[in-house]
Amino acid sequence: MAEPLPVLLEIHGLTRRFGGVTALSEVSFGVAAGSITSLIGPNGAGKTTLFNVVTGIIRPTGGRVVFEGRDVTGWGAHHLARAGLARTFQNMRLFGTLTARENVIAALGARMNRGFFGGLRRSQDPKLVKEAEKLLAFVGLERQAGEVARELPYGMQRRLELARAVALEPRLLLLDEPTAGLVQAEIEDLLRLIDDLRRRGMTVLLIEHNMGLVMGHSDHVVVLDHGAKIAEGDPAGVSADPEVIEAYLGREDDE
Amino acid sequence: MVGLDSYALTVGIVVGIWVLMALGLNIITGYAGQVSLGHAAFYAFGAYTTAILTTNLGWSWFVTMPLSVVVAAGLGVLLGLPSLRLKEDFLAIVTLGLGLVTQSLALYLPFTGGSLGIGGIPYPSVGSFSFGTDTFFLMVAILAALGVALSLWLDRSWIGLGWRALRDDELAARAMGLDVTRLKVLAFAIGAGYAGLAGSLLAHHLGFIIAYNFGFNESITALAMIVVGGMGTVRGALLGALLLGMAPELFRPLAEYRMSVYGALIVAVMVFQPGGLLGERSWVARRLRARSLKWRAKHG
Repeated sequence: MAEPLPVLLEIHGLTRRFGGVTALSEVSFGVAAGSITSLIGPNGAGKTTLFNVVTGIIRPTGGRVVFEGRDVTGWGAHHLARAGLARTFQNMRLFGTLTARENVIAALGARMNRGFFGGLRRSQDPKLVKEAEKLLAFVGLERQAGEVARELPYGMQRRLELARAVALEPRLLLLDEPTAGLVQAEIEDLLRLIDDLRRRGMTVLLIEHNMGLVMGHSDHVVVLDHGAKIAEGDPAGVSADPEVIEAYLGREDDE
Repeated sequence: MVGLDSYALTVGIVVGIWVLMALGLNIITGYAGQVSLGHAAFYAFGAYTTAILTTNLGWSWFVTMPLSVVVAAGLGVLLGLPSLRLKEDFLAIVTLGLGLVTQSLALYLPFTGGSLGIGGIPYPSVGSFSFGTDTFFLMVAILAALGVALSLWLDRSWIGLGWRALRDDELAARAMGLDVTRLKVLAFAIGAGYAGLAGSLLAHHLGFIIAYNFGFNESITALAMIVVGGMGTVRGALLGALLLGMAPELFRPLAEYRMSVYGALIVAVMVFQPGGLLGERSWVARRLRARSLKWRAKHG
């Protein structure tokens, strides 16, 4: 990359304490617009906590989050979602009793930010249904549109969750271990989808546990360990960093 | 109302009032997933609003009835606020407490008649025409039908979808841009409004109300109705209200054992049809779905 890309998300000195435990300690980094940035680190490094703070699920103890030049620290989750930040969850949090189509429509409708009377309109509005089915087709679930989410096979649920997040038309998509529990073929499909989304102009921030997997798909890698950033850079540089290697290899026995 | 004696009409009125109660709770607990054990509080506010305004100020029923809905809905917003912070069992206990507080207030405040209640609530009338049991029944039936229509409408609306999303996973709902605060408050307001209307109708129907009409028993009965019928469905609320609303009459010979019969019924439903008799996953619902699929397969 010759020209430095504008920074979409800036994280400044982000800290989060839970009682006496410091889950995040003064973490700072930026996510360049149009990039795929990976957040890696061993279990308990604070990756999901960072996601939760950035997406407004929990408040930071200190530090700032700046999205598209606006300070969004402490904003509620639903405001951030409407402002262009969408996410998936490590343990998948679909609307289990809703159909695949309804899961996507829920996010589509929220984006439209309707008032009370708009909210009285039919949820199965033909325009919403069409848009939802386009998104389901994108993740290969066009035939499962009418099926109840919790009855779908695991791999399909993962893709449904991605479709639901994309329905918000985010500028920044945060994916929390999207490949967890998937078999190799499914992982490759999913990575292809992520590349596709990036080509459509979405910036992706990805949590990944498996370091080998992110290397071919990331422009930038940030490494967390014990709540602190220990390295960042391009994939090759980071994977050669002795501190990173130690964080991964040195503690494999106590995982 | 040829052929219906006043006894049947009275039972019909009571069932209609319970239909409104069950539909209201179904919105709060069935649609939006917010457990409430204090539904009788809204019922009480509706009834007392009507009773006080008609007897003390001589206001007409067609002013006090909508006003009872508004007052109860306002209380719904207030009692709904704890749901923004509390979940499931904690919310259940807080709403239980708020229900009991409401009942004690009705019992001890001077203008609610205390333990003597409020009597002399007039039957509705228009000009020189006074409602009889038959016309009153008709009004209750129409209002209950409107209540059903609104519930069905909400279920299919975008708000209804938001409620179900929130019920399934509140955190995910927030992360998907849903204004969970507004959805919860709205559910409590609308559900309470239904109960307020039910209370107002009860006040006119009985002509006399007392705090004991609005206790924990009434809250639990409403909950039992939607649980037995099928939580989150209008047909379930209707069936529950019909079964349990008529139960006191059906089981009149067993008056002493009525609560035991209720209890046994609820246990039986929980064991054999945990989603309610007409719930989404009930035997009846599955049979009907299978049949409609077969029909569609056959007739393209």
